[in-house]
Amino acid sequence: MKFYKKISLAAIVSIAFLTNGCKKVLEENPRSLIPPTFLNTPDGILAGISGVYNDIRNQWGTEGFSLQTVAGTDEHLTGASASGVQFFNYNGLTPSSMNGSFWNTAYQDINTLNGVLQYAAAMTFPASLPANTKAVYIAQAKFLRAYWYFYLVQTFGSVPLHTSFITEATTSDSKAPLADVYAQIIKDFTEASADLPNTPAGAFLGKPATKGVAQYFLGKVYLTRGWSSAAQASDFTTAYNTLTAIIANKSTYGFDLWADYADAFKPANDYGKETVFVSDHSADPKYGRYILGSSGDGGNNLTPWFNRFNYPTLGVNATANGNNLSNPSSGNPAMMTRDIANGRPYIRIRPNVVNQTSGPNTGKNYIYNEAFADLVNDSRYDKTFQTVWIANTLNITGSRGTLTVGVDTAIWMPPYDVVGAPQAVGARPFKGIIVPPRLQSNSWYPAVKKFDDPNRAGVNDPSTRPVVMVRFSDVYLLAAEAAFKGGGTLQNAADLINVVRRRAAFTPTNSAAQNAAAALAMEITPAQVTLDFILDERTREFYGEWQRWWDLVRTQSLVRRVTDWNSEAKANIKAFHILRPIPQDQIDRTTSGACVGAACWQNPGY
Amino acid sequence: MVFSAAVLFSLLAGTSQVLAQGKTISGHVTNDANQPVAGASVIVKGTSNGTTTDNNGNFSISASSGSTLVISSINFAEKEINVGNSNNYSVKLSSSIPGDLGEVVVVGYGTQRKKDVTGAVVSVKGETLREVPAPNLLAQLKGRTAGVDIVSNSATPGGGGTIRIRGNRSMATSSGQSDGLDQPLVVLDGIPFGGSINDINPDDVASLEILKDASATAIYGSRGAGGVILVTTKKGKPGRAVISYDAYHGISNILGKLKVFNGKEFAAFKDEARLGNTTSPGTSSYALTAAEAAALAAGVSTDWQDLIYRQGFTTNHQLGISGGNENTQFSVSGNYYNEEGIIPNQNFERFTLRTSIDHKFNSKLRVGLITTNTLSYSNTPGGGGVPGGLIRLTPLANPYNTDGSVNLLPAIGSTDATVVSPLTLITKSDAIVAKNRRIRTFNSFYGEYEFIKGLKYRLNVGLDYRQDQGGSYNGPLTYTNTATSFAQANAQVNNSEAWAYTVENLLNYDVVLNGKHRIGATGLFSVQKDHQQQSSFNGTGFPADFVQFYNLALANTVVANPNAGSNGIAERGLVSYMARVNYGYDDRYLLTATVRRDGSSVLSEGNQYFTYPAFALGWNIMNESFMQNLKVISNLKLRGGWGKTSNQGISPYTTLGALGVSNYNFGLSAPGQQFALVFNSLPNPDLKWQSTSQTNIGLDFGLFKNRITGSVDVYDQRTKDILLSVNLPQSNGAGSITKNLGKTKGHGVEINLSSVNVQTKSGFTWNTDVNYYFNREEIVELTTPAEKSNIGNGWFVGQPLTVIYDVKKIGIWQTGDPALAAQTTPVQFVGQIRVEDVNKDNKIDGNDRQILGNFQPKWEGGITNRFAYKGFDLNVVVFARMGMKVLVPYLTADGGGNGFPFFMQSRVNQVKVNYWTPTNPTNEFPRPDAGTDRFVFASTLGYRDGSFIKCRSINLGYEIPSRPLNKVGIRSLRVYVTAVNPFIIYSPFVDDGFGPDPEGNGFGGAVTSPSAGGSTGAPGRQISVNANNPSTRQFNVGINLKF
Repeated sequence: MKFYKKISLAAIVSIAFLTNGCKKVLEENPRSLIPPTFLNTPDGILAGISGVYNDIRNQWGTEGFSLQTVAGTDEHLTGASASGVQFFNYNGLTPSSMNGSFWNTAYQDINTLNGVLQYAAAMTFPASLPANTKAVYIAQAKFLRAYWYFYLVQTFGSVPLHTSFITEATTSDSKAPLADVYAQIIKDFTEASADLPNTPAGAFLGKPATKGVAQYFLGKVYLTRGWSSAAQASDFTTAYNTLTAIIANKSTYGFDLWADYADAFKPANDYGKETVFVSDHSADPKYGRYILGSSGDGGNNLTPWFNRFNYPTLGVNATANGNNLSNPSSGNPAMMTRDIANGRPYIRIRPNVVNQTSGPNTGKNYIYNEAFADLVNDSRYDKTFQTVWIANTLNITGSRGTLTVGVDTAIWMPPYDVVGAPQAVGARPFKGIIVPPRLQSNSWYPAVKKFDDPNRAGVNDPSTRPVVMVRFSDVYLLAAEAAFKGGGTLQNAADLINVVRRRAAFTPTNSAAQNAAAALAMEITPAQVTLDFILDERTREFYGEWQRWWDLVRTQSLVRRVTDWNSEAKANIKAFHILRPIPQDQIDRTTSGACVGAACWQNPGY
Repeated sequence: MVFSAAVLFSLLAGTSQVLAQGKTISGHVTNDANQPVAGASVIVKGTSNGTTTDNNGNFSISASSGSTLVISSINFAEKEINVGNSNNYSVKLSSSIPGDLGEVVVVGYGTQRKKDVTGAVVSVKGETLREVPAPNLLAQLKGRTAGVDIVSNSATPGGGGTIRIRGNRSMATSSGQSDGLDQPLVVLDGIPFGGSINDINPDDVASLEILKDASATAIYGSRGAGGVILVTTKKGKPGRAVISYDAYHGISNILGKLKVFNGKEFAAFKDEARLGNTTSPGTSSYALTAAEAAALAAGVSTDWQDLIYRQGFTTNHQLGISGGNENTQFSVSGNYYNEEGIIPNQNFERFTLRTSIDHKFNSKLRVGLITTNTLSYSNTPGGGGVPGGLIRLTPLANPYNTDGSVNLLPAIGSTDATVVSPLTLITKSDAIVAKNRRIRTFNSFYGEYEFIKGLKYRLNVGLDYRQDQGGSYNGPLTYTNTATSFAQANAQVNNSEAWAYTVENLLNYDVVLNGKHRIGATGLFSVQKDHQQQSSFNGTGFPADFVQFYNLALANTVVANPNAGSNGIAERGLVSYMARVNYGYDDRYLLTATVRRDGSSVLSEGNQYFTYPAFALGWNIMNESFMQNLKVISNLKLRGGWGKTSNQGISPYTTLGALGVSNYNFGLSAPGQQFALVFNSLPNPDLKWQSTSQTNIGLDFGLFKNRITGSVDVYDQRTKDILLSVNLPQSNGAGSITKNLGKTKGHGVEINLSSVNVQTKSGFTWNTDVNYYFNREEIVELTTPAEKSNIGNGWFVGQPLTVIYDVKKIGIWQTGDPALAAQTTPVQFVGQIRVEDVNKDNKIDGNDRQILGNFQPKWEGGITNRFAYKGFDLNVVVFARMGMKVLVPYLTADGGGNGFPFFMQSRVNQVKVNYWTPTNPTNEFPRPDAGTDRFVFASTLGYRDGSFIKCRSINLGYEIPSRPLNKVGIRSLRVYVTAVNPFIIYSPFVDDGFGPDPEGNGFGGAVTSPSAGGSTGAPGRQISVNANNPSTRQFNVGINLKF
């Protein structure tokens, strides 16, 4: 019997023990996730700022967003494998085709920054940190908040404006007046530029926000507002003064132009003097989120792929069939194999080389006949586009002989016509294939080489180079635009533009005399400064650099330039397309408050 | 196996009648309800000569006149019969529950006489389940019981199914969340069983009890809302030890292939896509490559599916010993299950070792232990989606080079030049591995002490430990890794551990007063804790394939797996109190009242506890005097109950919120490497239980001396405070938050019917089990009474929980249709999909979306027919799910990863469809268009009729006469053949040629329709038929042998 008593006792003890343990059983002790309270620490503040930079990387350089920055403009047309064609041709561009991730990310970041700002303001930073840490963190947060609002306002017009931390769920929201949004952006950039250091420091290395970057954006905001319906009389002047002040203090900020336009795009110069502001990437799997051999995580830089045509499919015996390149599938071996140097073809976008069949530019196309018409003095076409592919595949023999790997040109895409193309130069046979403009199409077109990353491990790997969102030459061209709009004189504008143009003439293989002559030839007079000239100059300088759609919108030129130059979009573009539609999700999910439904939320026309 | 059966037969033939003695006695064992008792032990008293009854309750044994047969079975009182002159005996066993007559069923925290049960409880015997050989209980249970809806969601070896009892109640946004909220609770031998159902060896199961209504499940309170499945495993019986050997072995083949374009058709398709290019008319970037053109000319047309699918096999062996004496019973079994899939090298292997011991110290104290240890291995190279790659690969390529080696890059020269041949799944098996090893030990201990007669204290302790170790490797130039160098070989190692303990203290009091008042009372206090932790690491760059994932130190880089949930810990605790009273008056009037109070750690402080009441009444009409003269009716009982239950399917720490975590590098030097956080999920301090109240009315009946028995249940359930992930306008920062907001309701009818259709003197019997049921779920309220729809999640008040909301395809634009020119947005072309312009504004946009259907079957049912004649038995199981839609992502594309990328673009091969051409003006599929990877209104093609009637299994067995067997010490031997999934009886989806199986094999994959709505028409929580591993048809041969 003793034995059973023991068991009973054991049972009773276990009950007592467990009853005591009940409270503990119901307690939660998270260990593997970071609770929101962590944001309220100095480390949390820094991490919150880094989190926003990381989100910026999820947009610039990734496909959906990147293409929207250049699609549907005078510069670009659809590649054969284009995705999101609504953005290229405006056909069926509805609220639901809008890339919600940009909107969502922006507001997620804005709220995070509002939290960072609220917590940081009340926080005492440890004495072990440099004395200005708190001010710099706050300045970074304000910069980033203004940065996102600036892109939101340029893209969507009037948008919701929040400057305090939202920690409770709400299904109501409404849009703020355009003027209020601009005022907040200007306030934030102004305050940020007061406390940001002149050059990268502390944790914020590379090319993050500094005083000069904040000044650049401040200038650009004034300029943009000056063009907008929320314009104030002094905007262009303030823009001009702000931007020219950066040029005056360029050594303070560590900014300058390279002598050679091509140097700005060398991987070694990614963080060089001409680079003003970047979204970072790296080959580090953790910090760069780069997975070797993968097609890229959401935050990888895929830019080099978008504007490559499918070079490994062009056969050595292709022929001309009228103005089409006939690339038969039999008896026509392809001359190229995908490799690191030539990159991965995504065939998403192509330069606008389609001749207009009506309108003021009949018989001309934007790239060859307008933007890059000067191939003699201006070196930028050659430094922007890859037009030559050297054979890299063994034993390719066409009717004109066998291509020698590494020596013979397999594909040549000259920006001018070549008689005898695609198989001969005049009467002389050409071993590879020549694709002059008349044979170019959405499948065959020059690629952009500025963003190439020759240091990738695998041919299909994404680029690990930073996305350079602002280059120093933009300060000159924006200042010129401000001057042109009354912030300065036309002479000021011409002087600023000429700095950029003289540099564009420089070719390192030319003699000093040749370069000087070309530079002189590139100079323009104040009378030549027109809006279209400025826009053309921006194409020459920034082709493909995530700016064009906003440039055309800012300068109220989108509809006109698209109608004049873009044969794919001209039929569909309407005046209301100068604003993107508010994402349908935002409208569907706002179910309470004063602003519910498309009538309140949606931009007109959609 | 076939071999061993053959040996056995020859053995039998050689032993003739040397040991003959006495005569052969046959008999039939039934319970009080005249239902056969299977598995009862029959022993000649004082000898070791014994047998057990078969599924129909029949036995035959050799015994001499004057000897005594002892017949016993669990939960029945032992019975002795004297062998006289007769050679045939009918034996009726009575319940061993004191003062009880009749069958006993397991209910939560105890057992009950079936006639006393007031809730909707269904019992399924292990034998019935085993009529369908399958790796797990879910697969066996499919289509067998009313109200239990089981749908396949994977056909990969070891794949499970999704189970719902009486439909969905919660509004979930993902399949995982839906399972967490609406899946039934599984209780194994009294202890809640988390984790994979594959860990339970079906051969160990004695019976399943499915508690369906709230009056039955309320005793599981916070986990009862999805229904409860009580699994009872086999235990030893007093008497001579029985050794049993059960085994089957079989082959499996795919149910069918996806029909794709052959070489010629593919070439024609590409050409049509060029002609149909709306962006750059007449051009195509996806014309035939030189190699493809040559292959076409040479008549090559490779069917990649033929080259990959192989014949798989399944083998299952179970060896058991059980027995015991009056005080101690034991049961030991070992099982080996192996399923080789139809995709090369995919397999699932399981070893189970199980022991149960029950010991009675004296009349007051009993203890027992059941311990189940499972070790399983799986390898799933290529994963579940192998066919997706097979069907997109060009048929115009030779799979092998002229020297016989594999043509590694069949699509060379095309845009998809880097795609590596799927044959590497076979030829490079060392370079493609995806292994998992799982070990689990599940133990339940009990001690029971009877203080005074009827008053018992019971302690249940459950200890569960499981551990998974996974490793995968993808070498370069393989089907799963197109990289060309070892620098890009990748491997992943993951490890997860989970443990749980349950301690339950129970007090039971059973008493019968004045012979008429039967009172049973139960009180419970229990504590449960679950713990899970996992870690996962990725390595990239390996020296060679043979290393696989075994040494990440050899990798160039190793990083922790950044995916959410791959690393971390989650714990949850539950504290419960429960009381239950059963009262029966005169076996006529029954009352059950339950109250449970649960506290859970995952809810916010202050809201952790909730109380669950339940009541039920029963009326055994049959026992009323006025019924005694009705000959037709042999049983009649009316039941009615109401109860409240809930679920706790929210993840731990949800109430606290969490920051989104990543990393960022400012520049390229180490000081710039920073931890990165964003605030993307709001804390929710107010989360509380969601609760379901359910009313059930049921009628149990028996007719013609229970030749026909059955039950009808009607229920109505209301769920409120639904844990709802509410989508918020993103302009406020966070995209969603979990709240207790929604309301749903559901109702349904369930009918179970069993009948003995034919029972002849010659021994021929034909039984039928039929079940028929439907469930109607409906959203009553979303976040606010004013909110009538939540388009992003596919929720609409007044509609089932998941609907398809999209524009409606009404055909293909045909030449000369004036409406085409009238449509302003989007501008469309002849041959493209035409959708209905609901508001007739000539613009197709979000306003033209409409509800196109849902995924809730109109009705479901199953029928099992069993025939028996002189040792032969045949059973056929058929089941049906009718009247719901199914999502077919491979008939759509969105230009992204969903759907079937490049569908109708001709870049890749695809399922063969009847597409529009100028000479084939069909209204089925649009004209191929080489100019876009997201043809307009693509999403509309993916919604199909998912109805089906399928034959689940056919099982033919033969019980070899026991007399000759007994001579060699064999008690019984049955041999059988089975066909699993032999054929599909009805399926419009299959008839239309869209696929081989209308049942699911994946989740989600719906595409957004950019021009008309943005959100996906069908949310990702929905089971879909995708280009995933195909389901199989199996043929097995098996034996059941007892010594």
